[in-house]
Amino acid sequence: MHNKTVLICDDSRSIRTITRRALSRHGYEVISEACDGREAVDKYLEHKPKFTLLDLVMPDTDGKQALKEIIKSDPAAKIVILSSLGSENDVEECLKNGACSYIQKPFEEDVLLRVLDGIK
Amino acid sequence: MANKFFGQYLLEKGLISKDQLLNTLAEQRRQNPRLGDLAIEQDYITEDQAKKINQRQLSTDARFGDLAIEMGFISTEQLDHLIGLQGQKRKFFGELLVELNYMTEAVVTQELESHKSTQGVLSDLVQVVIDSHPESDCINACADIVSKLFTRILSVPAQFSELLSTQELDGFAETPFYTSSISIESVKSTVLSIAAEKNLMEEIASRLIKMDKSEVDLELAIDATGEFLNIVAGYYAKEVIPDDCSYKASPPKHADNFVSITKESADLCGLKFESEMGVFFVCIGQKQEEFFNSHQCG
Repeated sequence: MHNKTVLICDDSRSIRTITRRALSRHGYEVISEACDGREAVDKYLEHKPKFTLLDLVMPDTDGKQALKEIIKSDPAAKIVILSSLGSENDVEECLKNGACSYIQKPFEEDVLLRVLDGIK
Repeated sequence: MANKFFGQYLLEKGLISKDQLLNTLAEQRRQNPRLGDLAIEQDYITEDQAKKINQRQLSTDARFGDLAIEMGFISTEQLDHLIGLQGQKRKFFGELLVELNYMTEAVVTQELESHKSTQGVLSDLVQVVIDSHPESDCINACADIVSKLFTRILSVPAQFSELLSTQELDGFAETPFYTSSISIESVKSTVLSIAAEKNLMEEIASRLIKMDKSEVDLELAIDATGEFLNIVAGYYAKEVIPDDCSYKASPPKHADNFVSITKESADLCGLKFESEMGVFFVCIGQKQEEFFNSHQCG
């Protein structure tokens, strides 16, 4: 069976709930959730999920910093940014720093699934 | 309403790869003339002056042109001329995708069409009130973004119906509102807030999460409303903050009273929205300390 484990990192309980429900319906296994950047890094290292969904605006360590730390410890990490920010600079910076893709909120369920399914 | 950056829209749709997006941006940067280079080309500034401006940019978010004026190197008319020249020579992301053979012109044209969103229409009376306000651009952007996102995310139309001043907002001090606020730090710091009664927030959460309203607790209701504001803030920042200025947004801060908004923000204006689920307010203000600092400077 393909590894379809996911770590969801978002400070909003609503977004974590929506995302978890959508992924669970389509065969993904949400193995853990984090609500700030520090926790995102710790949980990534603990669980080593196949995919990490990472919000950018979070308390303490923000998503951009968490992205750098995760990629530094595991350059092969498959991280998709899921953020309300969507400027050209934000998208470019995150992709350059190792994110696989970038989805701007609000997102449609099929967009999230298409992006994850497209990651090798 | 502000659109997503076209490149990211194509990436989400799987029509271009991450590498193609990054290459196109790099090519755009290589081909599009920078304001400083144009200013030198036009003999408005010297290379030394351009270096001094770049040096100043390291410690501030101000744009090159604004700094050049502030440092006395060019006039406002010269800046307008340079911006005009830059616009004439600018190559668009879609044009470069075709040049780089990543997409055909026909597909770019088709995708640009679907990327565009229709403009909102406000009533004439409301529009007159907005246009006479000193922050009319921000208010227009906010009204448009909130109405469209509300409809898109919650599948219920929300109509912007009234613009309220700080004094008028003070009248809601006793209303049992819950609030969420987000500050956006950039050249100008802004606080965006949303205020609504519990029932409306529960409706928002129920629709956003697609969950029965009876399962929504108060914490989740406030969180969902804060997340709605967070999404609004992302689009708002993209619309009102110039492309070459960076910005930072804070996570939503929640409170159980309306006074928290009037206490933390100055120079407030409130946009009242009506939907079949109830009335809510989105307020735009300045952070208190910055408001007082800027007024002391004068």
